Amino acid sequence: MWRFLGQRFLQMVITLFLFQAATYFLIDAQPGDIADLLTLDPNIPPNERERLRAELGLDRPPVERFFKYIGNFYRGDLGVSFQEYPKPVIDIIEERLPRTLVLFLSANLVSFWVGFVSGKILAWRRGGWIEYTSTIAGVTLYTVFLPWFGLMMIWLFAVTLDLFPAGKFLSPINWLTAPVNANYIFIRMTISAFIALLIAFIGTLLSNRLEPRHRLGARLVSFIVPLAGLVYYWQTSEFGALAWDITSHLILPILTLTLYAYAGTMLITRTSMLETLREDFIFTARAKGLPEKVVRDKHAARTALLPVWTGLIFSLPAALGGGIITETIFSWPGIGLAYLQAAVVEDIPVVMGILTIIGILTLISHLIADIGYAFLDPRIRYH
Amino acid sequence: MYSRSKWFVLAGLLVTVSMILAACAPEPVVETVIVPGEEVVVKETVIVPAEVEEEEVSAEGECCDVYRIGIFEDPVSLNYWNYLGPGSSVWTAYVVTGVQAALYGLSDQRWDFVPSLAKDFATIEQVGDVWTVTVEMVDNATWSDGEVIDAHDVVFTHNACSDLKLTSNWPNQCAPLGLTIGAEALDDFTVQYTFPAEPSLGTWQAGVAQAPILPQHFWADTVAASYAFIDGVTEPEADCSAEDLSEADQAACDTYAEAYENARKNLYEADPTGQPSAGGYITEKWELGAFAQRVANDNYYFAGSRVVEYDDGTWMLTLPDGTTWQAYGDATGNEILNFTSGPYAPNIIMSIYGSQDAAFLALADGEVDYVINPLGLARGLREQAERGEGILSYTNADYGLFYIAFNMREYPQSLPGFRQAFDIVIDKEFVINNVLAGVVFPMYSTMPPGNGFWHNPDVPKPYVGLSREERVNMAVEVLKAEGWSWSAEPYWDEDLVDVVPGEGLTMPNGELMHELTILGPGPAYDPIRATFNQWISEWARELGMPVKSELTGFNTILGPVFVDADFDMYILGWSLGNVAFPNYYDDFWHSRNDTAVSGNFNTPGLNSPEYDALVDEFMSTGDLARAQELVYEMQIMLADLRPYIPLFYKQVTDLARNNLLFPYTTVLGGLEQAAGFQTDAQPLFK
Amino acid sequence: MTATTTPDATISIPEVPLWRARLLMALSSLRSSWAMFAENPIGLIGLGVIVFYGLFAAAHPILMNTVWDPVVYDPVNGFDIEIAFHPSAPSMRHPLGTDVLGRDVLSQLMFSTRYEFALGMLAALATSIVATTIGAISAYYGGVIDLLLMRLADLVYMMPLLPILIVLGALMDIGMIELAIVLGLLFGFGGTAIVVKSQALSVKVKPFIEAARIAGGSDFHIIFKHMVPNLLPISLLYMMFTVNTAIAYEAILSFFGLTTIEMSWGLMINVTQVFGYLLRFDTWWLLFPASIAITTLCAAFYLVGRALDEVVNPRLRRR
Repeated sequence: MWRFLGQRFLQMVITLFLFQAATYFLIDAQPGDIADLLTLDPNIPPNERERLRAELGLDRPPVERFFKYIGNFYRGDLGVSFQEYPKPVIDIIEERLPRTLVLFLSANLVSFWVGFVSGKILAWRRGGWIEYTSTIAGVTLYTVFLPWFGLMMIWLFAVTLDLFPAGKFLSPINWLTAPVNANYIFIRMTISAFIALLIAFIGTLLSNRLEPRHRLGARLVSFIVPLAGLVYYWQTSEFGALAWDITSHLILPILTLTLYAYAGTMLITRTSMLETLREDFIFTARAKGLPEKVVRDKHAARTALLPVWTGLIFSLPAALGGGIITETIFSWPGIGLAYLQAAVVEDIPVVMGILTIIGILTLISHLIADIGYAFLDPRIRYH
Repeated sequence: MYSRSKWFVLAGLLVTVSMILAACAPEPVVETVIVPGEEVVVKETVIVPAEVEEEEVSAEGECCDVYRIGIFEDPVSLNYWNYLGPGSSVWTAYVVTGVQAALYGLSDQRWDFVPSLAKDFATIEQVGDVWTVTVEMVDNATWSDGEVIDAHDVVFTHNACSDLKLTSNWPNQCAPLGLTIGAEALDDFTVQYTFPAEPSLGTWQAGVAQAPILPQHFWADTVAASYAFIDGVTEPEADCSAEDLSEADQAACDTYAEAYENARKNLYEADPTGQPSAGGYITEKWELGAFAQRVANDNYYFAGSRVVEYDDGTWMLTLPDGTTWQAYGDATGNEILNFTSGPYAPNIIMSIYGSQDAAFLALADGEVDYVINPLGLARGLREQAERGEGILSYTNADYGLFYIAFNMREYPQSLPGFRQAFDIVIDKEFVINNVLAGVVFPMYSTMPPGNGFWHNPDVPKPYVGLSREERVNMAVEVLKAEGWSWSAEPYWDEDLVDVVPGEGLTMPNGELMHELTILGPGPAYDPIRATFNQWISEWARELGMPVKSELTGFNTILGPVFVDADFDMYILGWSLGNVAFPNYYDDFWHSRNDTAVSGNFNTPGLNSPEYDALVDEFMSTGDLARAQELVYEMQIMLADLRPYIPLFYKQVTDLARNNLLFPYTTVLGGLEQAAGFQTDAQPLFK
Repeated sequence: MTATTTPDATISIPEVPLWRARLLMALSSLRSSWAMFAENPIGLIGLGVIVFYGLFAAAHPILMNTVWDPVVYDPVNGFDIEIAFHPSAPSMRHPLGTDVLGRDVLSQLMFSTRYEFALGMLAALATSIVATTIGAISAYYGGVIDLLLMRLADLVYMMPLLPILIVLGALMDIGMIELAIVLGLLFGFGGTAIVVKSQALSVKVKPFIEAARIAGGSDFHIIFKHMVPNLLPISLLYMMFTVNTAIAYEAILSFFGLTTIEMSWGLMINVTQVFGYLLRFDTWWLLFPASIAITTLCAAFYLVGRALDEVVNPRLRRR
């Protein structure tokens, strides 16, 4: 196991390096640079462009710059933003990343769970109008033009029904006297939600060991207790109102993303279930005369979870891609919006920094996916 | 490809229809906009939507609630040094506006040069071969933390700017035109500047006089730390911009550059938390991506002071203690402006919305009182808002210039006839009125008409109202006179009611005309310029010129136009900035600013000694009347030389809720220019 | 899934020329595949939608040459001068209304359809050419070549596609063709190559490959004559998924204003946004037609892809 991890780690470092090189030179090969943009003002004196270029290091050849960048990167220095000179890129990422992660982790977890359950039921019922309508509806949701879908959600829930705020992540008026900043609340919310989730998860695992007749009750308890704890914690906290303000702004984007991502999970689960149902061990299980529900939930679903699991894990780094759209539509100041704004002005350090973060997240996700495989599929073992 | 005849029939129809509509429509309210000027007050009529008259600001409200402003993006930093340095974004400007003090400023609405913390105009004297400028300051102005604003603050800021060689917008504040200007405090409230050349409008009035003043007691430590970086560093003897440097010279240059870079970086990245303000508000809090909060400054020097302007040009300021100062007239005639300075609202919240759409949705919902919009209000948002409850719209002329430029370094764009032919065939009125349905206005001079003091109304517009047929014939005549020839001349076909394009166009040098490209933003970036681009190339093709439009992204235009000066023609626009002193006549067309030579902004590469002479005089004169004459002359000269052909200018529309009382609403560039009058606006309780 | 005959075998049946035998076999395999495909109404629905859009696109030039006056109905430069105010709501004259610049929305929608198809097809073609070649070569040679190619595939697979496209779009001119090629390369080198390679591995061990090798076929010959034809079904499948992704990405990039395409569904929405009509739900015709078109055409290709998946992938077939 350790040897495997060691090898994987080495591979990851090499891949990351190649990834950085590929993206760096790709971006660098584009025409023009930020110095041209920043000095596009006749009030700025003539020699300023060259001076700025020298200051930003843009006067050096690309290869030299790249190795300098990489050198700094492995010393933990992501450089400073060109556009927001001299703000360190790491600060920008630190400010923005929690906001994006909160949004996408919650949406992905919800959609994963709902999608998996519905996909598994769907695969069991082949043929008939249920399959056709749900597949077509699922595919339509899956391929929907996301900006439009987001706008529809805003129109319905924020404008017409006026249930949720249309955009942003907080209402300034509630924060004028707040002693802490939003990221502080964000991080606390994430941690508390994570702990609650962990308790619920462990509770569910434990409940599986109970007698079947106690199971449902135990499961309910393992969900309700952490949830109640969570509510109680924030209720009594001095920042409860602030957390609620953020939560109310979170609901609509999460709902949108969940609907969008849910269809994908459902479709993958269905396909994967169908494949699994052809496996010999399912025939055997059936032949043994086990109830259909048991075959479905115990035998088939566990194996069918594999690709779904992969999908979930891979969707986390992909969050940024989707984030660019969602964050634009919902005015959510996360990392996707920061990326878009940096990309259009050729702010290389920020773009590279964010891409690198995605790269690292992707690599870690691959690793987690592989380890998860070993747990889910008894046939796979790593040595 | 398009039959013109149909166009004309349809155009005629439209005109008829619109005339009928216009006759039935309620009379548009014609308001008088007073544009800057000292003696000459030019009246410009701006048609204001009729709703404004019906729906007045609801004055029964009480003063004053929180002033809620919507903006679209985060400021870069709240550090003022950074703001005039690398972090100069409009969004930063809105959030830090008023933090700095200044000796002089520009008057409201008219942009006259008036004292701020100076007691009176400066005394300028020639002493030997230098000039001294002595300014007496008021002695009772304070920063928001109660410290007095004195001459030492002025000198401190000036010296930091020049000693640390601050970048971007700073040089214009302490070393305009590259001059080395000294500053010293004669006593606590008297500053004396030393100029190596006679102070002019550009170097004194529009330069050092308006430079920001920052609090020494707050920034002293940071600036001292920056000085430490350059301590003992001397300028290398070698010319660092030279191509081949010896290793030793290169090292010296690098050390020198790095020392200054570190010094500046230290200053730019310093934490501005708690920096005192000299304006009506102090920026208290900034929640990234969400909002910035500004609180009223109890120590604001001008709080409760009254500004009065008369139509004879008088500007008058009365402080709360009763002291009055006036200039530019003897206060006869009618009052045209009269307001009392705030701050009124105890708090300003600037909500950051990711996009225009989101911000204006919030305005419609009553979440904000006003949206500062530097991007130009999109039509759909405007229509929607104007129909909405409780929203007023204020329309003003914009201070901008959209144009097509020719690369005069290349043949045949260097030929005057070629450019004139373009001027003749470009039917601005047609594109604007018929295709774009009047969202912008045709422009004939390089100075927008909204800037009445500098705009020359006598710039010739010889081609207005010509028909397609007349335009083609005239362009053919002009080109022929210059020696162009066709194998088949273009002509107007009466039966087709269209132009038959010319063929086989030969240039005066005997070569066949080669293909030319008009660079310009694509429809996704700016549909208006894209539409112009397509029509212009179409008209050029009718003359037999193989011209094609290349619609592309802004980043792609940037390189060839502003860096390499390697293009045929392009269409872009300028936002012109300084209303009081249009030094862009120097930046855009003086031969020493040729992009190909110095990397500056003379992109067409105009090289006219007569024009240069006019600009040089304009930049060095201290006489406003003479400067105006010169700008008038330059406009006429440029209309003849045609490095640019001006195409159109825009209008700006500001939207605000009707509980918001502005000190005035007609101003060149719109309310956005005043950053929403943060200090002087009154957000009334409903 | 039949293999081509070896050179030796052709000699034994001289009456039927080789190309004819191949054609017949391809036809019969196509027929049985079609039967399987037709069994699935989902695929048929998808196909129906695609055919509808195909006709929709084809109708545009016909309409432009007959009933529509180009001055008014040209999708890029048209302008209806008879209507005083644009955007105008749907009417007899303009079934889907006009856009902000006075152009007919239906005409734009139809005109763009052909580009969407062209883009999708071009991207899919590029993807399948690249993926099949890489997959086949990697599986055939194995060893270092395989390792290199597959690491490369992993790397490309790791690339966050949308962010990369946004950087490219922001900094250079991306038109329809550039976009198709970039997408084709990224898809082809990445995920698709990995899938095709695993399929190619199972083809490689088939007896006819061995036979061809013994018969002295060159590597090139074996890869492109024997392996590639057997990889086409899976390639085709992934082509379908490429088409819908390509259309979706084009729409998103154009929506952000990052392409230089003169007219497309995404650009229609971008223009709506630039002029401030995005959140104006009273002018729904500026937003809905293009959005629905993007969604349905993407969905249609995806549905066909899924149905094909069931044909190509026997484990998904009905019991």
